[in-house]
Amino acid sequence: MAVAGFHINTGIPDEYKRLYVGLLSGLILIWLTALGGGLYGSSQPWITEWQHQMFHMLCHQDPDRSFWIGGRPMAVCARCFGIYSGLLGTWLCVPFLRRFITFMGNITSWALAGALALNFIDFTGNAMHFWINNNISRCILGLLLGITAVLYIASEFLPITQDIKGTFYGNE
Amino acid sequence: MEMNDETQEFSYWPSVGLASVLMGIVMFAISTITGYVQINSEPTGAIFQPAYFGYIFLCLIGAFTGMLAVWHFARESGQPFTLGKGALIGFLAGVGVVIISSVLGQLWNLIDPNFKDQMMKSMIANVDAMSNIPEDARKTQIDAIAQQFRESGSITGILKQMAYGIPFYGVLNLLTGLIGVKLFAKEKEV
Repeated sequence: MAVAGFHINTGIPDEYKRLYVGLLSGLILIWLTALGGGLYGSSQPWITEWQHQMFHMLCHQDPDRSFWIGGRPMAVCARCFGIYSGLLGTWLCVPFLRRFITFMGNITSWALAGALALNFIDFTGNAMHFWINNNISRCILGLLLGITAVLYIASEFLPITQDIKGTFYGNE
Repeated sequence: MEMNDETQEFSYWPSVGLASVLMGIVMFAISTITGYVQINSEPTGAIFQPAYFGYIFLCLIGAFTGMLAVWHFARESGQPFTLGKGALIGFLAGVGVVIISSVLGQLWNLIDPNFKDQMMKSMIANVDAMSNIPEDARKTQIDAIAQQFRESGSITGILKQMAYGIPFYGVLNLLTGLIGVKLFAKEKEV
């Protein structure tokens, strides 16, 4: 990847670089939109903001279950914001996580399944009044889901080669 | 499944089409049923009623259209394919599901022309029953909801609705398409 005349070795094969950058751009767009109109000083009723319209089929957007910026609720709930933040943050870090992803191996699938299960248990427990979750706990669990989802597919972007394994195990 | 003559590769369009139509119908059906539940319930002073949560939960299924399309393609082709192809299938399936559900929603308005009007009245009644917001803010919200429903029936409104849905459903289904490649695509033999 060439940035301002410098060549950066991302470890991502050439055929996947466009896909990586494309998905990164999409995730940045989603994350910025998820912040809602408060960040941009919007004055129209928040329910009709374009940011809220874009997510209205994906999230309940309950203001009581959302973080607020500038006196207005974000366009997504706290859990969704956690998911999108996890997706973007981890996707951004993928080129730097080669060894970690090599180390994780098949654990990533279990981690993703675990994060899904945790979110389901949290949602169900709260809905059945076994416990009361809050925006922070929802956001953290969503964050876990976003992180593990990216880790799960990241190994496909970073072919695990013998030289990485050799370096990792100290027998290069 | 049809073959593309030039490349001798399986076409992914049937998988994209099938997943889009299937999930588009599911999404349309759920949103319509939930709409009627909302119309027939008493105003509670909350825009977000319990039925609405069910609607959102099931609408999330729409984000997995890409994975469904990739699963179908992997099963039908039986060949290994690249991440890029899985991502493309997922993205196109995401675009497809938005178009199909929007078109079906518009067709339903021909079958029940009062549906949208009743939905608007139900939402306005809920906002009107809100006791914790000032009168001015309540009035502004009601005006905004009314204007939004008026616009939604026009060509511009329909296109706007699709333009809002396509990028996000596209990206999210691209992501689930990638997960689908890892789950269902055949490994390349070395």
